[in-house]
Amino acid sequence: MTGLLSGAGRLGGAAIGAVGHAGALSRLAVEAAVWAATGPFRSRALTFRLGTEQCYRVGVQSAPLVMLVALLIGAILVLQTAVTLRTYGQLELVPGLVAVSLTRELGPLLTALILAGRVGAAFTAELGTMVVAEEVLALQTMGIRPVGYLVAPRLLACLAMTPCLTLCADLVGLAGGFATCKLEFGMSFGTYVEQTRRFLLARDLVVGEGKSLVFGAIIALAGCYRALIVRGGADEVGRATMQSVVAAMVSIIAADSVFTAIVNAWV
Amino acid sequence: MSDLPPMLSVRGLRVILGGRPVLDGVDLSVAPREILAVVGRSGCGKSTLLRACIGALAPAAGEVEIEGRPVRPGDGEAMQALRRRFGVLFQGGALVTSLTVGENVALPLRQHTKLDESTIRIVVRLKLGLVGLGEAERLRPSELSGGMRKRAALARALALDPPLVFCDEPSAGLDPVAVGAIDRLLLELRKALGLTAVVVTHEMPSAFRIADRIVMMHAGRLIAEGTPAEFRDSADPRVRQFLAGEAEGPLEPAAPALDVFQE
Repeated sequence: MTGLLSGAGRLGGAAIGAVGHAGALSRLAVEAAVWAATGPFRSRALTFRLGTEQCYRVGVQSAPLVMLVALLIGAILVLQTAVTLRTYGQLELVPGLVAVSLTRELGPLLTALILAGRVGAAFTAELGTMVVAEEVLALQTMGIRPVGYLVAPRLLACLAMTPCLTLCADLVGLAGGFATCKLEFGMSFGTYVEQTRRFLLARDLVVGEGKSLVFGAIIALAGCYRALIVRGGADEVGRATMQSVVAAMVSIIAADSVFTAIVNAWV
Repeated sequence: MSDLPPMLSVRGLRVILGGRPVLDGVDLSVAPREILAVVGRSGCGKSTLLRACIGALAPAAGEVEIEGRPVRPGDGEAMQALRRRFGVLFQGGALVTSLTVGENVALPLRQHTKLDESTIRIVVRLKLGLVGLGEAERLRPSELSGGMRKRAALARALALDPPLVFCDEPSAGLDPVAVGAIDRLLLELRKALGLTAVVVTHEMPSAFRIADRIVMMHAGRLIAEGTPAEFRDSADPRVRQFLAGEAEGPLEPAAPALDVFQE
């Protein structure tokens, strides 16, 4: 009985903690969004500088990895589906299948998961170290709001760059698919493009880009929030980094499920 | 010195962290141009006192005033204006590592003034020159030695010409020569700029060198106060134990020896 009660107590404590985190994260999201929106009016030069710096780190530096993975996924999709479809003499359906899977689901999801691991982890490690080294306290003491100076540029960069990288991933994935179709099955470029256009709808691209915007916000906020509540030393920063990546990945997949359910019900 | 209104005034300050009182009724007054050293064992509440003074912690009771204006945690307009009146030198320097030394010193200028970029650059060079780091403007904090980092942080703390500066363990992690250089710098700045300083430290040689007055803290309270000479000659057993660095004494029961040694 005592064990049951203590278990219930722990569960209650965890629930209260989760609600507290959800509230604090929501406040951070609202505050960062306000700063991101009003930043250019407060200091155009500073917003531009901090924003472009983060866009470079989030977008340009992540692009090679995202494109490499997308290229391979495009190729794998062709190899996995062509075997079955060829049996039924439906090889020409492969380009359409690759295009729809990539733009609707795999492009946004894989890009977001790569960014959560690469960029979200970097956000938590960098900001967490700043918290531990009193750099964030020093900024506050100088009257500089950490949310405006540290979180808003990262949120802006993720919102701007995740859809761009997703589009890149879609295009490179399609190129990977075509290269495999050409090399493995001798499909011509004209046939591949024609079959892709037959199945790919503008709506698929819009839905994919919409998802990636939400994923971008999750990556930035999960990475920054966990960093700003770090207490202790280097070990805590390491733990926080791991937790923020896990939280971002789970949240991205959960948001993807909700997004897909809503879009399917709506369209 | 004592005729002037205090630069910093702390009255009945009580801070509770994790349900435990870390500061318990601290009263303190610092006159303009005075250098006050706050000493005590690790964990006695010195750094908490400093954080409460700069508005980084909300006290459970009592109040802190700088130049007669109340310090309130948060980002209200009054507090933002008050932040221009004091600088803080953090223990590790707390320079933003992604910025150069010059950009670090420029941070408070960009935040609190409408100076154009060329004027900011001139002020940055002046401040770095003041602490003997004129050549380090373009370096990253990671390229500086511990002593240089502290001096760069001091230049940033002085960027807005505040009359009051708080220093948290300025000698921590430095060799004795670098400690001496920081101490001399503080004394020169007081002489040149009329600076008031509150220095939290547990390095008694440093406190004796720079302080006009020393206060000693223990378990969240001020337990002794006096000039360096009075401190040296103090008959208070707690002060004597602290100065002598003895493990046994009235300050606190010595930590129990590890079982392995007892066995």
